[in-house]
Order: sequence, then structure tokens, then C-alpha cells
Amino acid sequence: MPIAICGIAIDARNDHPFSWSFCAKKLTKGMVINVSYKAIISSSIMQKGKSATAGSKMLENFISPIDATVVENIEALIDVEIVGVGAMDEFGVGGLFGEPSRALADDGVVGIVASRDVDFALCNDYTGAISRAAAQYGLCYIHPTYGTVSRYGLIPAVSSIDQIGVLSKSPEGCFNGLKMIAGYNSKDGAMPVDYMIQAVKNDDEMVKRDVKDITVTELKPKFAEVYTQIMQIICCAEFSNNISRYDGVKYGYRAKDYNGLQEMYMSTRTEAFGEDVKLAAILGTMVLSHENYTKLYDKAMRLRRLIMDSMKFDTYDVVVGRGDDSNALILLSRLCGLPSITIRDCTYVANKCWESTLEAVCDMLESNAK
Amino acid sequence: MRYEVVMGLEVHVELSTESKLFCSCSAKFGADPNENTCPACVGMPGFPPIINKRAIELAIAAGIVTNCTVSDIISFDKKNYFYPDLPTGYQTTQFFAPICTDGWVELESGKRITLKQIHIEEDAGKLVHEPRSRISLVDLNRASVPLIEIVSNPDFSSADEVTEYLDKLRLLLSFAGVSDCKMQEGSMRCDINISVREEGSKQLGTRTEIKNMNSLKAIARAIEYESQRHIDALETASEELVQETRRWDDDIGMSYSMREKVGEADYRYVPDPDIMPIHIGANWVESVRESLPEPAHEKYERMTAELGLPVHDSKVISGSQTLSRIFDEALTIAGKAKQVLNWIIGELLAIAKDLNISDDDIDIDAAKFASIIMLVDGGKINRSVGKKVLEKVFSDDVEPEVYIEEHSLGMVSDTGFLESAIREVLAENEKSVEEFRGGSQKVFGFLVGQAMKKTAGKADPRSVNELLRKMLAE
Ligand SMILES: [Zn+2]
Repeated sequence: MPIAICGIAIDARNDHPFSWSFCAKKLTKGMVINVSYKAIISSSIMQKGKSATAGSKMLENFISPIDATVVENIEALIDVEIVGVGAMDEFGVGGLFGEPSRALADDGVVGIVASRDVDFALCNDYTGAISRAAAQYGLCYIHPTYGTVSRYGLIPAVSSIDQIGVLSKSPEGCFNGLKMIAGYNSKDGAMPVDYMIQAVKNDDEMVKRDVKDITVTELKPKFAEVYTQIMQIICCAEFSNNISRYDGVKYGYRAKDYNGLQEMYMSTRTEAFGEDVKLAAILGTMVLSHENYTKLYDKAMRLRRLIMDSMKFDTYDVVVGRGDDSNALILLSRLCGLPSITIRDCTYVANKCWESTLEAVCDMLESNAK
Repeated sequence: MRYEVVMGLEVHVELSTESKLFCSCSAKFGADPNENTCPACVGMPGFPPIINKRAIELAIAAGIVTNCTVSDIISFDKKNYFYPDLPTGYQTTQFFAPICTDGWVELESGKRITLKQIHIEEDAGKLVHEPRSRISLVDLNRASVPLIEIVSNPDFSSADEVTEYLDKLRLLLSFAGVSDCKMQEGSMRCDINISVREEGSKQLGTRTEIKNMNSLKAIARAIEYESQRHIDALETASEELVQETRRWDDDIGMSYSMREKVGEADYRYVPDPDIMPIHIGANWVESVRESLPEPAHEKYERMTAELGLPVHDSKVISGSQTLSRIFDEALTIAGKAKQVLNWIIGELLAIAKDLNISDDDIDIDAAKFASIIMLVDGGKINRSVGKKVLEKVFSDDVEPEVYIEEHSLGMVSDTGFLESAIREVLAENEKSVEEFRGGSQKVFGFLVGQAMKKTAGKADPRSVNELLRKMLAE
């Protein structure tokens, strides 16, 4: 699979990796930013006192007791407003098996950003389906480095991939939205503190770097032909864990008629979960079962590790792909926790925390394209 | 045919942290149902787990006092099963990389019980069944409270070894501050794996597991019963032994099958992606080691060999973490090991016993305790007043000096005041005085008592004694 690589010589190539995304802490309460933005969030992002369903009947009566960190971040800014909630496919899991039809509908996150006066949407595109769909609607989606946006208040689906990203009409909208929500937050234990601290130290360098002397090489990412299978195995496994909390005991939907505990569980989950959720849960349970763990789950995790290790970013800074390659890069960024932005039929992937480079490269290539 | 019993233990110990493993809810016992809960520990979505650092430190401490190797990198895993007391549908535990491995605990006989591993996990809540209304209620106060599970190898061959080991473990862990190890409150409980084989045989017999034991006496009875059941089955073929989990009913003195086939449960253990692997490292282990208090056996050595204190009393003190602490703190302030020891054994424990408080639950300010000892020792109050003040400190946490001042309990050594008190006593008890002069020594004690009463117990009994003798002789 031919993938175009842009090996870019940047002036300060040997600096510590840094990312302006951590500088979100500088956007403090009451701070006025130049432009006014209208934002929406997907229904898996929790707002205090409001319903958060993640598109599931299971959570149709669930009222969030807290504000997600990203909601707090946005609400602290003057001139940025959350104007609504966009519909999504049940827990977003449908994207593993096909198109995210609910998100594409008129009241879905993609539908709203595409057709209405809304600047960006915050949602968790862990399957990559929103990014692929965005391409068809002429939209852009940025999936940030794993752990750079707090997942506190995000209804979880696949914990090792879950990451709130930004859907917008332009790359600029994506990057601006991301600057508002990224940053270390002590309420999410999976945020990689080490390089966060490094990044915060360097946050005076919050300048967009100039890109010069682009060289292009070719790269064939390892195991790209099985990305889809690896994604399905890992996503279904973690998804089945994350939805086991929905049992009708403590909150959420509970079946009306049942006889005994087992039946309560079964009827509740049968009635409240849709087909995709059931399929993912069953597949997840299967790949984690005693007979299949080594054959399927463990093997997928080993492949994932090999893929991560192969992405060295030593002789190149950004990986770019178009068409089928774009789709492969979307999955690559999910599997490896790398930042990526999908702009129409192109996807750009950079090393962890190198969102600033990603921005600079996008800017340049996009303006050249025009 | 002679048989031998082979047993292994899994001991669950609740860690003495202030808060739960992943949220800031209190981990203390005794709250109303669901009082110690929050959205995170009732399993609501949107709360990524943040691990309690103290829980890891206490688990490291447990590993140190049981001679384990503490792992350099640890991770957490999910154990999946559905039950209403498990809010997330999975228990966070350590399956692939436990925090401690390969330790041992030595018994009196010198035999070492070897440990396979210690791992951290979260507790579940509990179900309260109401048979009359046929409903079950869920109490999640214990959900997500941090536990360690100490897994031994099958090294036990008698109930005595099991109970001695549990007692040793309780002592080691409570001294290290890992847990209060109270079996009656459930902060220490154990599962016993038991099998029986022909003596000398290398092959292990069919194994059964008795779950959730929380009393040493019941454990001894259960082992007795269960091993006999195995032997009977082997000898008479009265029943077929199957590998299974059993519950012990201490009231009827029998174990019964929980009707769970062990082979069928598939917990689908999987690494927990929400908790990053944690690097522990030698420095962290060292700093925990340095913070540990003196272990019981070393304290006993120090008390007997260095301080020359009696063997029996030293054993009482060193056998309780609370008494050890009180002893050490009072000793630092008051000096005089012998006095401090006598006050603990003679007075403090007597008061506690009257109030039905166990040694480990004694809650007294050691500084105040020490000041009473010093006041008596310095002749400021007499011993019986000292005891009274101690009772007051025990019940109301009063300030000894202030209390003595307010109730004018200070020792009276003013001879004039004593003389007039004794004179009054002699005048009021002419008959006794005559009896004494007639040769009856018995009434002397009575007269001393009367004189003490007159001074409201504040006089130094020795001075009263001397003065009374002198005045009777006049
Ligand atoms: Zn809690």
C-alpha cells in the first residue's frame, strides 16, 4: 500500500516534542478569544443535570451528575457556546460494522455541522467512521493524541482508544476547537503525565512553526491489511467490558417484566440494546473467552504493539494518505494513539503530541492545493 | 490407611486507606447503607479510574513484612462477571502482574508457609435480602474499597498451622498499618483450599474450597469437618468428591456445596486499559520500608532483653499494635518503662475490660496517659486518684491537670489538715479506737479508710497510716 510520507525538516528538529494543545490551560475563565464559536457536543459527553444517552435506550432516563471536563473548558470561554447536542449511533459502536447512519442524519453530529450554522462538534470517533463520513460531507475531523483530552464525563466505549476530537468545516476549526479542550486534567488517570509536563514546560513556544524543505519518501505501514480485524477484536473486547455496567440494577433502563435476577439482566439488556451493541458485546465476550483469548485478543494486542513500535517518526514527521490509504491511516492513528486529521479524502498522521507540526503541514499543503 | 491434609489459603485483607481505590468516598466501616458512595463507585459512566496511591503503598508494606519480592512494574486487570453488588460488571484486580510475589511467613515451629503472591483488588458491595417482602437491596458502601489478597502455596497440614498463620499475618499486617485485620468486621477473611491424600503420596487429592471464613474458631471446625468428609469419601466411597466451592455453616457444623461448577466460570480476565501500568522501583519500596514501625517480635525482644521487662507483660504489649503505640509514646514522655508497663497492664487494660473494649480498640491520648503516670510518680496525686483520672480521660478525654485542679484532687500532704481529719475520725469512732487499743489490729484498716474518706481520697495513704499510728499511740 503506497503511502506518501512527508519528511519535513523543521528548524528545531531536535527539540522535545511539544504541543500547543496543552496550552489550553492558558484559555482561562472569562478570557475573550477573537472569534465567536457555536459548538455542539455528541450525546456521549455529559452535561450536569442534562440527559446523556450516548444514543442508547439503556440511558434514555440517565441524567448526568457532572459536567465533562471538555464542557467545563468550553463554558469557561466567552464567545464560545454549546448550542446543542448531536445524535449519535448507539455508543458509537455501529462504526465498527458500517456507516454511522445516526450521526449522518439531520440531527446527528455530522448532519448538524454539515448543514447548519455550527462551527464545530465534539465527539469521540474511536472507530474512525465519523472521519470517513466527514470526508463525504466535505468536513474535517481531528483525532488528538491519546490522553491529551480528558475523558472525564465521556461515556466510555473503547477505553484504550476513546478520545474526544473535533469535527468542523475546516482544518482551522478543528485545530481551534482542540486548543479549547486539550490539556492535562487530574480526573483522567490515563493521561500520560510525563510528556505532558514536558510539553507544559515548553508552552512558551506556542507558535506555529514554519515548514521548510519538504522531502517526500514512501512508507508502507506494517500489517495495514489487518487493521480492520485488529480494530474489531480490540474494540469489541473493551466495548463488552464497558457496557457490562448497564444491568438495570442502579440506573438507566430496567425491563418491566422479569422473574428473578437472571431474567432481569437478560430482559433489560435485550430490550434496551440495539443490534450493533449486541453484536459487539457478543464478539467481545467471545474474543476474551478462555478458548479464544490467546488466539484472538492476545494476538491482536501483540500486532498492535508491533504496529506502534514500527511507527518511529525518525526519518519523517508526518504520514499522509489519500483514498484507501486515508482510511488505513485513520485506523492506524486509533490503534497507536497518534494524532491525525482527516481533511476530505486525505488523512495526516503525526507522532504523539506533534499536533503543532500536523497543523503547520496541513496549512502548507492545503494552501498549496488551492 | 493414614491420610494427610493439604491446605492452601487465600486471605483477603482490607487496606487501611481513608478513601476507596478509585474515588474519594470514605472506606470506613459502619456507615448507613450507600452513604459512602458517589457516581464513580456506583458504576456510572464517565469516571475514568484514578488509583489511590496509599493503597499501593500499603500493599508494598504487606509484601515487605511477608518477605515478598515487590514487582517493579504492576498493572491492573478486569475480572468480568455479573452480580448486583458489582457496579461495573467487572472487578478490578491484578491477574497478570501482581504487586508482590514469592514470600513467606514463619511459624513458631520454624516451618515456613510460602506465599505465591499478593495482589490488589477492589471489594464488592453487599446484598441484603429481605425474605418477607421477597426483595433484595444493594449496599455499595464497600464497593471499590481496596483489598489485598494474599495467596499461599498448599503448605498447611493442620488446622493449628492455619490459625497460627492467620494470627501471625494479623500481627504483621496490623503492625505495619496495612489493615486493622478485624475478622469480625470482615476486614480479614479467608478462603481455604483443602484436599486429602494418603500419607507419603505425591499426588494431591480432589480439592474443595471453603469460601469467606471470618472466625478462627469456625475455621478450625470447618477444616476438621471438611477433611473428615474427604477421608470418609475416600474410605467408604460414600460420596464422590468433586472439585467445587463450599460454604461453611457454623451453626449446624457442616459445609455444603454452593452448586457452582468451578470449570464453568470464565471470568475473561483482560488488562484494564483505563489504568496505566505503574512503575514502583526500588526507591519507593525503600521509602515504604523506612516508614514501617518496629515489628512485633523485635519490639518483644527490645522490651525483654533491653528494658528487662517481664516476659508475659511484654508479650501482651507487643501482641497489640495499639498497646505498642501507647507504650512507646508514653515511654518517650514519662520515661520509666516499668511504671508505664504496670499502668497499662494494671489500670488501662482493667478499665478497657470493664467497658468491654478490646486491646486494639483502646483509644486514648498517650500524652495524657503519660502525664497521669508522672503526676502519680511525682507525688502530685495518689494512685487511686490517678486511676480515677485515667477513667475520666478514657471516657471524656479530659485534660488530667485541669481535671485534678477543678476537682481539687491534688494530694494533701498538709500535716495540720490531716491531723484534724484524723482527730475527727477518732472522735466519731470511739468504739473502734478502744478495740484497737484492746489489741485488735483489724480495725486499723477501717480507721485508715475512714480517714481517707474524710479527705475525699486526696491524702497520701502512707502519711495517713503513719499519722494515725502516731495519734493512736498518744
Ligand atoms: Zn465513590
